[in-house]
Amino acid sequence: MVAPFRLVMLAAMALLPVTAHAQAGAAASAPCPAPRQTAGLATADLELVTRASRDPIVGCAALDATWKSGDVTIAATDTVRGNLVAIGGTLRIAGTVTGTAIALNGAVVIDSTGHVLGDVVSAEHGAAIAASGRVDGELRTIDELAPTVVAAASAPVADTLASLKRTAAWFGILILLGIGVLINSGDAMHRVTTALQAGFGQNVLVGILAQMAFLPVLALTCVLLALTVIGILLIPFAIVAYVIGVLGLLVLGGLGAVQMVGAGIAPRRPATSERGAQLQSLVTGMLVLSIPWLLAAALASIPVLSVAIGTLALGITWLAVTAGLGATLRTRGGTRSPTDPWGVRRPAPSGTPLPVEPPKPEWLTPTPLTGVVAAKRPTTTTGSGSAR
Amino acid sequence: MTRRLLTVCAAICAATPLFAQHVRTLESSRLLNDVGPVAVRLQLGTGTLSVGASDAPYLYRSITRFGDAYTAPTSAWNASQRSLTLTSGRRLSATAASSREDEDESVQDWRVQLTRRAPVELTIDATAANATLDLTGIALRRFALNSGAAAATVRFDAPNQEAMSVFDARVGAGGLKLIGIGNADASEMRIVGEVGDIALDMGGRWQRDLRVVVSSIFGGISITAPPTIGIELESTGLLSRDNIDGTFTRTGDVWRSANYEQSPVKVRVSVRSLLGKVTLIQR
Repeated sequence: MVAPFRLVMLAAMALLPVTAHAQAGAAASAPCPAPRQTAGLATADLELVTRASRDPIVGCAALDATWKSGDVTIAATDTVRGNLVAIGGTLRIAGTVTGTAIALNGAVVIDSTGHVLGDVVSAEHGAAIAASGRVDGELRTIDELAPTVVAAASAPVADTLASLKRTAAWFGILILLGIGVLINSGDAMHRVTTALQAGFGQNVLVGILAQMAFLPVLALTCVLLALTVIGILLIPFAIVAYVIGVLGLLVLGGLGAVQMVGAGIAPRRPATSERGAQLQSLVTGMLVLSIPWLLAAALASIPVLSVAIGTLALGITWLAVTAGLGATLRTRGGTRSPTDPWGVRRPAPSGTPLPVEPPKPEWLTPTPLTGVVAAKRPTTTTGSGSAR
Repeated sequence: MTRRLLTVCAAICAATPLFAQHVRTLESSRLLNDVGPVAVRLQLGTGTLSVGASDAPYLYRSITRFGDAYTAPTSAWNASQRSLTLTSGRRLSATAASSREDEDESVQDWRVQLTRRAPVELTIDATAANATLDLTGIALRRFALNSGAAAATVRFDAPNQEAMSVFDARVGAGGLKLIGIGNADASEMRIVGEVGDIALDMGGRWQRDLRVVVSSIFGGISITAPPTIGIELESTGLLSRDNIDGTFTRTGDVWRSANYEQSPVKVRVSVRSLLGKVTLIQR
């Protein structure tokens, strides 16, 4: 039964890079309009310009521009309308640029007669700006353009991997917790599981009622303690104890529900011991219940799907924990038999005599033969009088 | 089974190159076209910030070294209002940032140089960034610091070229150290601290009287004053205690230096502290 889980994990892992690349492409193409004219521009230069336009430090001005390769000089009498990009050389401006002046893989020099109405940007290798003229905008130098297509995807991918790690870690902790409970209170958990198998709906109902009663009971406890005046001091301790108690019930119930799911999916093998079967059910159930959570984490970069699946996972988990809580309460914390959870002997069908339990011995310690204890030892009498 | 493992490895390997590490350096500036007063606001979330003055013909010069865990810094200049807002990069989502193991990814060092030539009203919002503010030489008309969970040091090593109306500092949990308050040439100083020590060094060249109001919840407040000024300390607090070193007379909650009446410059300090030691030293 674990095989489908592995397949889901494989699919999720395989989808990660695809999703990331798809998003990167979308993010890259969304902000800037297509370049006006790419004729005459080498492929490498076009890639550089496109990459620069995706970096917010350079911006879309790199695409909506006049491109020139190598060293570029704007004479004092010249005026460039709009943005100007020089690729792989020094951009010297003695005239006027009405837009933003950009040098990619090169420096910018603004002579004293030069005037740039927009920003001046120098990016990548050899980036530098020397301005003795007039610049109305900002001067920006960046030593390296932002990594684009691949690196732009790194944030969503990192988010997804982090979510997956976090979810897997949580379930790892829960499995460890379950093993701890199994070792210390295996019988109680087994009773809860058996109670869940006996009647799931009934346990859900009890669990919902219990959840509704949690806060009122806590409030009532605090009020009663406050009424005693001296009990006011105990209120913080009572709250802590109450919360711990409720958490204990929830954990026991939740683990019982997990074990029930696991037992239903992976039936016990004949050769497996009782404790081994419980452990197998616990781990299997935990893995099954973790699938929707892991799916939601794997799709963290697609918020709508992630939220939808996360909500589904939350619903399933809540149902399991609620049913488990109901079963825990019905079995008095796993101390009573699931077949007789309330500890009340029900009337047998008519005509069937009630089973008679043998009387329990009241004195279970070794019988004292001498001394005061022996003198006080109760004895069964058949006639009148008292024993000494 | 082996094939599945290989597929998982391939998927992981395909994802690995996406985490290329980058730390970039952005230098941005704006030429100083006139010397009219400017309102400057610096906003920084996390990282380190240092502020100083510059003689270069720029209104400002900002150098930011930032890792991929941060977005690019931004700037906004409003020519009509003569206001400038410089904002450092915003940290990407916690999950994305925390998954990066390279410490360089989380780097954000920001150095800002402001012009000495134009009067400046400076506001700094440093949420959780350690700030070292050397305001020496900046013509400050007004100063405000809002700091969250990081320490801030503010110093004036030379007299302010402008008279400062108000010096405001609100610091959260990191503490505040002010050095050379006399050089700030402020007439009013308001300091609000929550948790952390506040140290006030009253050194510098004093040109006028100063009223200082310090409020603190937890943390010590230490005031060091030169003997050339007259100082009065009114200390009120629920669980605070005073530690006075110097020649002072006490009237109720008010400590007054022996030279207070004769001193040409009088500094009145009002301290409200819930818990912490208030130290006043005059030497």
